[in-house]
Amino acid sequence: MNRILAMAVTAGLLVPALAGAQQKAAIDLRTLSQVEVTTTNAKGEKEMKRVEAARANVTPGDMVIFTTSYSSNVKKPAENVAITNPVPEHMVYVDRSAEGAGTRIEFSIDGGKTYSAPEKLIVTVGPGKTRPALAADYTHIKWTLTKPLQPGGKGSVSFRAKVK
Amino acid sequence: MKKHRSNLYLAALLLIGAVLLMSPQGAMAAGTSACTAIGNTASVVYSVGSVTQSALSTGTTATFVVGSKVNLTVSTSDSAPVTVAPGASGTSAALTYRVRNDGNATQRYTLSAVVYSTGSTTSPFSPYTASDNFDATAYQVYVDTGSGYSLTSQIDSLVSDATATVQIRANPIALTQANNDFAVYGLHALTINTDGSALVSGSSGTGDVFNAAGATVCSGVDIVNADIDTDGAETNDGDRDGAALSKSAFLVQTVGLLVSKSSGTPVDLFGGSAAIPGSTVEYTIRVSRNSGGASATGVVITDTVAGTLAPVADAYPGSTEVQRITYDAGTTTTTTTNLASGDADLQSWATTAGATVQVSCGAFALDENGDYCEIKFKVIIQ
Repeated sequence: MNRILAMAVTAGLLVPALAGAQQKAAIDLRTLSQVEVTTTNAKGEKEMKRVEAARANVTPGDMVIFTTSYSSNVKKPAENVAITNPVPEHMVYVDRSAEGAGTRIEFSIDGGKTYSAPEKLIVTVGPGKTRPALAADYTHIKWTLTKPLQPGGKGSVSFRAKVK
Repeated sequence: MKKHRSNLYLAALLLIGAVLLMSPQGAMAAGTSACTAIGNTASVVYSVGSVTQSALSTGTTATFVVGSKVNLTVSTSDSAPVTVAPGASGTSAALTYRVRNDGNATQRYTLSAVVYSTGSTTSPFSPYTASDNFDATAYQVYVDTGSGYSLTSQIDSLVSDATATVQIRANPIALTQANNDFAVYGLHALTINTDGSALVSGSSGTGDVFNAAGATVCSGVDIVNADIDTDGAETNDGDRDGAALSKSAFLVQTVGLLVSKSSGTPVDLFGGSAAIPGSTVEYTIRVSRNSGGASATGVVITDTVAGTLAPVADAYPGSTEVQRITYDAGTTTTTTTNLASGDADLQSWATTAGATVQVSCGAFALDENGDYCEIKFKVIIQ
């Protein structure tokens, strides 16, 4: 217990953050689900707008953009920062849609146990038979920051998935 | 030790996320069930000064609810016009259709038959071409409820990906219809809610989703008509209207049969040809097809001889009573069968005066003009 408390003090917080206490979290994480809606503006031009998924038409086949923004409240540089996100149930990952400036993006096809670059993911389809993993096989996505996250540093990562 | 704890904490959070996301209804070909809530969970791990810190998670957040994508397919199970005889009705004059729920919510369907006026539509079956030129005297819509067909105008409830079979039955095809008369019927299915209320007006809107019993599953979600019209100019079926239509048709096929009876030259007991008591005469009765498009099967020839005549036993080879000859004009095949008393096809036979001779033509079908079935038997003048 003493060791945990010592760690917490070192990290600059007294309560390990949970959902709902994000304001005081050491690293603040916020997730948005959005859909792209095409509208026509006053000039008659088509505009692509992002709308919160909860307020838009979302039915099977529609694409949702999941964006997670992060910002550090840690008083020292945070190292080895890795954000993970399961592909939500009922959704299928859209190939090559994961983005994140300054991150190394890897995927898991085993429920988040292991992560690799897409080309290294192999699915076993039968005795001695394998095939390269497809986007639909991905269960989790991981973004690893290539540099330490400085105090007050922020950024965002995102991916797209379609409703099955 | 610390690292181990962190990993356990992360695992626990992931597990909670997974449980929250579980839905009682799985994903189907029609897509994720309407009313399913989908959320997202992001987590972060990091270390400070080479010490791994507790993992942080957003928990399940940014949740949205999957709306109802309304889609259906109506198709006919008939691969060609359904041939009917004048006077046919009920199951003998039935067009069969399938209604499939391609949407992601349970729906009810209101059914109606679309009747076309003469000349307003043509055969839905390629390459068969014909134009609609009559209507049945009346018709009824039946739905296969799983335990037989029921007379109804709706499919009460159909879950995602399920198919219901529907029939439009003529009641009847008028006896006056002629060979090759053609009647097209469309089955129109309109999606409604299982509580009997209408779906959204227009192509999309907000509404409730119901279960098979008509109870609300979720409220205020998006209802989107996603049915795409594939039959172009068809006025009874549009894009994204929650309705679909398919056509099938009746083709009237009649058959004209001609019956003739002839007698051969009498053979008297004195080597002559006098029609006197004791003389033998051979009768030939022929049923031949001379018109129409249908096939006559189950032909039975019956003849009650005059009271002054009696059928002769053992008149044909093999001690048989009646000779039956069938002729197939298509293959120009003549088949002769000698029928003995007791044979199943010799349905009535006696050697008494005024007896009735009844012969079945068996499985022989009179399906082309020129086909015939004839019987020969001999009588003795009393």
